[in-house]
Amino acid sequence: MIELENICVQLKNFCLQNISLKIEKEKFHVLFGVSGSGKTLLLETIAGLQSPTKGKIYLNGKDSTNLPPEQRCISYVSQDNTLFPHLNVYDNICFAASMRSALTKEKTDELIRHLNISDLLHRYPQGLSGGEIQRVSIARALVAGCSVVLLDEPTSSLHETFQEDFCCLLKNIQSQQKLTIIMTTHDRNLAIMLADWFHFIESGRVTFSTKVSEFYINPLPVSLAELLGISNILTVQRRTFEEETKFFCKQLNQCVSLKLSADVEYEDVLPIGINPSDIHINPSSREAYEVHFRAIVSDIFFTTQHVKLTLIVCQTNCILKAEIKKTTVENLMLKVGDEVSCLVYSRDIILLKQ
Amino acid sequence: MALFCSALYHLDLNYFFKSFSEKRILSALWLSISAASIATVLALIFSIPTGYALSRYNFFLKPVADVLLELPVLISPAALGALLLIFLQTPPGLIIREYLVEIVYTFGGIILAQFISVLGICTRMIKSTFDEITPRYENIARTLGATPVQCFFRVSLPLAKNGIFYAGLLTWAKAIGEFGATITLAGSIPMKTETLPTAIYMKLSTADVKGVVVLIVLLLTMSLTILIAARFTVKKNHD
Repeated sequence: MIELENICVQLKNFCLQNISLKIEKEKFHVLFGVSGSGKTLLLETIAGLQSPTKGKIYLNGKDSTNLPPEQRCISYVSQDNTLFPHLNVYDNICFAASMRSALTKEKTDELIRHLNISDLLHRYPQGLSGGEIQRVSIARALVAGCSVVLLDEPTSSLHETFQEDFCCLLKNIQSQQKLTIIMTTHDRNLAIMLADWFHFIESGRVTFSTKVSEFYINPLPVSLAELLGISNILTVQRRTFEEETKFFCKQLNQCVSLKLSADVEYEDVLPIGINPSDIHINPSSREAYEVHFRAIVSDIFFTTQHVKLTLIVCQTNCILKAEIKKTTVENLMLKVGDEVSCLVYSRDIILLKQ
Repeated sequence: MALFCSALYHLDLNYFFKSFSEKRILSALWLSISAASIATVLALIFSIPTGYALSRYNFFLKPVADVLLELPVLISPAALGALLLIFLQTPPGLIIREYLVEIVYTFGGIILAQFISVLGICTRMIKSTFDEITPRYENIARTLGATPVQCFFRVSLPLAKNGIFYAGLLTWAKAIGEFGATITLAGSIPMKTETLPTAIYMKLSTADVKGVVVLIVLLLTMSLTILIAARFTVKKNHD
């Protein structure tokens, strides 16, 4: 268990501010945020490569704030995959084994097979591809025998096609070896796919932490919603009619129903988000209690998998993004300028916070 | 190139080969090579940790250390030799001469003069070598369990190997050509403290042009061979 308590780190032009986190044992934690949000700095602080100016770091309950990196037993795979260029792959892996009472030879060999790097052992880092370097870096970090592994953007040098396979491999290793992994990424799909715990970091602060299984229970910050691709950010205003509370959305010109937690006090004006894929075009039936509106199609963009539409809501001129299947466009014979009816299920409306 | 050609113009090959049997020239050659080699090894022993510290750490006296290392490069070699002589007349200097080693007009004097002259430039070159190696390698090594000392010997030093080798060769080439400080501190006593550069000066003062040319060609050939070998070795290691 790693616990960060009000950690502040000051660099020349950037700082981490009052970061408090609990890193649960044997779980996959993802630090999600845009480039320059402080993900790498936070990993380096946990690894002991940066000293906090304030706050405490506890490793298994012990104050380890000033413990040097070599005594923390936390392996770190940096974004630039720094394999030692003067050593071949095998010696790079053995470097870690020689420094700590690490994995046995049998387990090391098994790991080498598992990561599919047996053919690379006598090659030097200069002759390896991005994916091969990535796998060797991870093998080296795992051979050190630490139960905590920090991975800084491990998929950044991989082609999109291989990212998913690589992530499955990571997840397998994590669950088999019961590792605690903290990984940084700015890829929303990988983040949600891998994480047991999801932490959102922006401008040097962790503003949102949740178990992925409870992702939509608490309101998401608007900035996180935008990064997750929830591009339709609207606002609703609480109104009370004859002792019944309703939420009026001005941009859609109608009331929407929201499930609010009884334990939390909410503001009168709340931001909400609608995923582009949750807007249904020309539904076959009109369902009560759901959100219906009419809109004009102003743009149609074809991508490899979906079709992206830009819609202008009739009456309010609010611009929304929708994402539908290619077959739907073909069946409806959609073209720019068409007026369509749209449906959003209330269950798909995501409550946000500023 | 013109200067080198003019030396060849005056070179008498018969006299050149005959010179190799002359004990005074052989002694100057041997003294030059051995003193420069010892001075280079000493300079490397001092420069490697100093260059590493200057490259990696920020400490209170870093600017002072920087200036002190520049000083022998900026100051005239004769003045440097004179300063060493003056130091050896002070109580600490006299203690060194009395109880440790006699330096003035001895082989030790040649080594000290060459060592002081090349130390700054050697440290600068080694610092540049370490500057070119990203500290991220050491950081990663530490997260893999290596102590700072292990990082230095198992990561930084092997990565700096080529740069240190090259710095050593250039230091040796500079040491073997050192004149001002050597003649001030060790003099130019034939068969005892006469090195190739001081021998050139002595022969020139007696208008022995043939002898001067032989020594110049000898010095140039040695330096060029070392430099070409260095480049070849570094390139081979790099490939």
